Amino acid sequence: MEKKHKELWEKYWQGETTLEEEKALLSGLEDQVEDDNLRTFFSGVQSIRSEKPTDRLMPAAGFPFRKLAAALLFLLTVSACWWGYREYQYQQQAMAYQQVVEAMGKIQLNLRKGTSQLESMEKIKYLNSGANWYENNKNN
Amino acid sequence: MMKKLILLALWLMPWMLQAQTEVIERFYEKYKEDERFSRVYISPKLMQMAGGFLNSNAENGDEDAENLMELITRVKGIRILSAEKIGGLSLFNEAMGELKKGLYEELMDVRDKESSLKFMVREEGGRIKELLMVSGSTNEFTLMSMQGDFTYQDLNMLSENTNLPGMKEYGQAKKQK
Repeated sequence: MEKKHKELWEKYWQGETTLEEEKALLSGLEDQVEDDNLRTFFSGVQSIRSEKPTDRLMPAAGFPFRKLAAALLFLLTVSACWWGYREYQYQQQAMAYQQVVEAMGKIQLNLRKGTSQLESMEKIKYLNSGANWYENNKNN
Repeated sequence: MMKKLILLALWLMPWMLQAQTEVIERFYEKYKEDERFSRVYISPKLMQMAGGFLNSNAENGDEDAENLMELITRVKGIRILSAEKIGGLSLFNEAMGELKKGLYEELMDVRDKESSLKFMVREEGGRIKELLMVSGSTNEFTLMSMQGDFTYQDLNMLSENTNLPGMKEYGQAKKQK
């Protein structure tokens, strides 16, 4: 028996043992142990081995505060950028409008310089028609 | 022979037109570095932006704003070259010398002892493609070119519309400066 045990150990060190042979070696080792602590240890190992896996429920996921905060931060950043861009665009538009109004105002002012002189011509036209009316009445 | 001449004239026309408009460019280029001159170019994009501003700020049923909006959409760009504290009359004559009369029709000419003002238009197919204003006085000079596709009615509106939206506010802001 002891000879067979030795041969198994030889085979083990050569790395040629099968799983069954290794189990036999281990059980033999447990039997030979005299120290109480080691004996407790081996019995513990044995009891762990005999345990079968059981189905356990995954812990329920909590409220995703981090995800929500990240999404909120992202939304805030995007809307701040968008608001800033809109504000910038509005300022640019206002400046453009101011320049256009200034240019149009200049044109308007100068166009009026000419038309104001034409207005005095209009008055002469009416004076003339009044004179015609007077002449016609005088003849009648 | 006649056909060839007509074809040649047609072929040269775009170059001739370009050469005429380049005269204004040359005038701009000549004085743009002079510190007494200020130069403004309102690009088509800027016109579009101004239109957008007016559109979003005008009240419904504001006829003045609607008229101005219509004009703004028809104007493609405005160039202004102006100078103060300068002998504007000689610059006026110089500008007139540079401009070839064939391309522009005279619209208005107002002259007195101290100032000269001329409006000219470039027409294509009965529509105004460019309104050119040159004014010079003893102490200032302005050369303005408004390009686009508008009518005399639009000009009339501009002349008669006494309340350009934003003009009053602009005037007040300028006074405060």
